[in-house]
Amino acid sequence: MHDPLRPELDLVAALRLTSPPPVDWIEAAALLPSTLGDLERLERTIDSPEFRARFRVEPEQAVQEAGLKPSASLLGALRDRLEDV
Amino acid sequence: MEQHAPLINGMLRGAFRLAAYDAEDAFQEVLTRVYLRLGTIREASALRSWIAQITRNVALDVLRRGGREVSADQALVEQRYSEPLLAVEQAMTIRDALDRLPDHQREILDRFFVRDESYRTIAATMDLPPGTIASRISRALAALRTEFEGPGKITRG
Repeated sequence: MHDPLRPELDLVAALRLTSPPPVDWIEAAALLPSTLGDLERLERTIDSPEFRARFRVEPEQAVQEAGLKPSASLLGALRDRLEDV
Repeated sequence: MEQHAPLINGMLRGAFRLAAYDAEDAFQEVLTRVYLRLGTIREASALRSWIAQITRNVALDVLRRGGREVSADQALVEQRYSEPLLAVEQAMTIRDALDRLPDHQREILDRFFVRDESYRTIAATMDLPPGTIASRISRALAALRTEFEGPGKITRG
């Protein structure tokens, strides 16, 4: 028997199947370009002998001059990383 | 990129059946790959199928990392997921039709069918009389059907 509501039910199922993800997923994804840009800049910075020399003397200043925010976590990670260099 | 979020989410959750926490990580991984390689895309029209391909690869990686059995045989993988992936692809054409509806119709369908909001919540949020919500949903759904199928293809009963 033909169900007259079937096409509408199919439309609803399709909308549910392709529902947008939670807002916080999209907000996190929106930060990706900036995060990836920061990581790229960070890699370039770490490769610079001038930066490494400056960082050993004045870490916060060196990070700021490289255009990065000298957060405690970043400074700690850089210290760990540069010890290995 | 937000416009492609329903496709990515639909594939990860609907076709590959990833758990929410896996899907969230996979969603970010897909978009990371997209951002890193966006410059390699020449044709804007190819963007959706390119993102779908990346999503598929990421989902299969997640399944393998999670210890889920994913055949190394490409043909078997295609066979297992082709039907649910096709369903998502077809569903996206309906979502495209939804995006072409007037804002008020799109919003009421989204609130009722996707976000599962009650008539009362919808009425309060959209500043509408509560008694009109059911008929507005019905009209919006009919409009979506017309938009999707075209006015000449509607058959009733």
